[in-house]
Amino acid sequence: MSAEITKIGIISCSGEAIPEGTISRLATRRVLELLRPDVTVTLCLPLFLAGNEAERNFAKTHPTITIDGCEKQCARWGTEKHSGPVSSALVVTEILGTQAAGCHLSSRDLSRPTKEAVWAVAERIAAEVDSVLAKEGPRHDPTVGTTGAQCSCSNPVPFGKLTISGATVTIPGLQLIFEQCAERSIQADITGCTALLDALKVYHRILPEEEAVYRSALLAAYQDFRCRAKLT
Amino acid sequence: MKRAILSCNGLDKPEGSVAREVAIRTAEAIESEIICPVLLNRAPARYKKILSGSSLIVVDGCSTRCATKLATGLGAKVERKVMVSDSVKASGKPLESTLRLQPDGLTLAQSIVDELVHNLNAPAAAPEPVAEFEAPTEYLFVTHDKFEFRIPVVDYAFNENDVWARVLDGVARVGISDYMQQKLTDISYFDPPKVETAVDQFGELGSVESAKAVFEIVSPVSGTVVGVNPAVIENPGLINEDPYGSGWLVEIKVTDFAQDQALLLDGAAYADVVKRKAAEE
Amino acid sequence: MTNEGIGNPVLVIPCSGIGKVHGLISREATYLVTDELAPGKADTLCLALLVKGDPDAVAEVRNHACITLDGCAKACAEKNVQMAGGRVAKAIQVATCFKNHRGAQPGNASALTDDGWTITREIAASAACDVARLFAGEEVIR
Repeated sequence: MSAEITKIGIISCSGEAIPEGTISRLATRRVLELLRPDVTVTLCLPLFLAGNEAERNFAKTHPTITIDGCEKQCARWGTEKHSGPVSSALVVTEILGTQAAGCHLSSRDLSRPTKEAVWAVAERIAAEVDSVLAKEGPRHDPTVGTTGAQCSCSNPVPFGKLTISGATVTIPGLQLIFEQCAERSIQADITGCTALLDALKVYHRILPEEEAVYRSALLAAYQDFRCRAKLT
Repeated sequence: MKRAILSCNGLDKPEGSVAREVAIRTAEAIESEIICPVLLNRAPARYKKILSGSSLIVVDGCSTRCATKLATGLGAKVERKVMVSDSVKASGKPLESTLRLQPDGLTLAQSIVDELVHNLNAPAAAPEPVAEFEAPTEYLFVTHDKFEFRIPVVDYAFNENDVWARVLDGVARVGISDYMQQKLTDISYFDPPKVETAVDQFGELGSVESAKAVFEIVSPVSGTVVGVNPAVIENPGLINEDPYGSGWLVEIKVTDFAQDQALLLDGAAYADVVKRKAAEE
Repeated sequence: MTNEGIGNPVLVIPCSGIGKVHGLISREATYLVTDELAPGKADTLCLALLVKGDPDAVAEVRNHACITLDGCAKACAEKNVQMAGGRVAKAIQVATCFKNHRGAQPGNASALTDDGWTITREIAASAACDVARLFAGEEVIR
């Protein structure tokens, strides 16, 4: 099966003076590297504003989503000024509210609140990517074309596998999803099933009729992951 | 011939101490004047007369090349460049970690001076480009996402390893493609082959290095290396700025380009290769 | 008339380019300077805000000596500070600093390795020295 995928340009403010700028940047990178690697391209805002034609031309011919740290919305302003209207404009302070309080400026030794904030914004961006593609692009299936997931530095994203109704399903970043669930203290038992499924659905499309079999396969794989993590 | 000596002011490294010793001993060995780098930077007018009337010998401690940058920034005519860290590497003996020179450091400084004075008296012929290579004026463009890769339309032949050759009067000028320089991003090192080395088509021709990767240059032609781009040694960023023009890497006197050409791609064919590679990433 | 001079905090402005590791290094080096190496003597501001023409940001660069930390030769921070009328007392390019770190694998635009942090600390230390000089009212070699 193959589907024509449209690419979306994502422009983050990366504002240096506030934690929301760091969250905006890290969330954008997370979308690019893990959540929607095949359908997103990040545009460098300083280069964009400095006049780089490649960045501006891409934004003129493709849908764009801007992520700004605060209500000043520099990324949105710059994109609209130099390339035209954006498909969606997100603001971290609007997404997180007071959740950004206590977050770091630096990416070194990220605190738990900062990680949670980054994940929350990244998931919001990913949902927006799907929404924009549904409106503006050809039929988009997040599962198509994920066999070659790579981050922009060409490092591959690790894959995991689940057996669903006797067939092997490849899921990019499954280990990373499990790591995230463990950090969120999601239990490796029946009580954690719903949270596990919700976490996976951010990255991987699951039809309603498939949810039951995914639950059991996912729980077994997560239990195995937690056991191995304890042993190492 | 009047000469002037400009040494770096490296006070934080042993190489800087050696550089200073080299400058002092050279001034004792040949008729010359030492230039203070700090004064030259602050008040270049003080040395205007000396610089305009002398050939300059520049002594740098390390690859930051402060003295060379200072001299070339002021438009001074540099006759010779000495790089202490290269001499340390060539000696195979690490320098003592103290700033105050020990006997080994003094010995090294003297050996550098001896070689410098010998070369001044019997200058080696610097390899000069033998043909006038003009920059390309017409390009094909391959676009992938936000990236646009330029490929010269005529006169450039490529191998599938993203290296180009342009031949004039029996000499091939060689460099890396725009696609490869964008993939590597900011190039910080160029490791050239030795001049007078024989190389086969698809043999090794040095390497370039960036924060992302080390890229081994695969020779597009067979022949003998007759030149290396000194501007790129000085500033590897030229490869990123102008990969098909001033960012050229090596010149090779070709053995049989007609034979080599059979295994190379013209611009249009290389464009297809770039499209395929970009899509696979 | 500006407030540049003794006791006036220096602005350290990174490009924060999101596409390459150099942008991350520029950003993290800035935070090391402002938070650890020269607290109280150095501050930063959002480059995008400056380019947007935010009056407060423009006033800041005109009233303080600036050190720009750019990832690469495109020098977005340096150019934009100059265009806003600020004085770039020192322009640093991360890509140039890699020349002293042959073989280093610094990481990517999302996270730095130990090599990357070594380079970052080196750049920050050098920038902090320049901050100290500028804060003391001295000039630095650009």
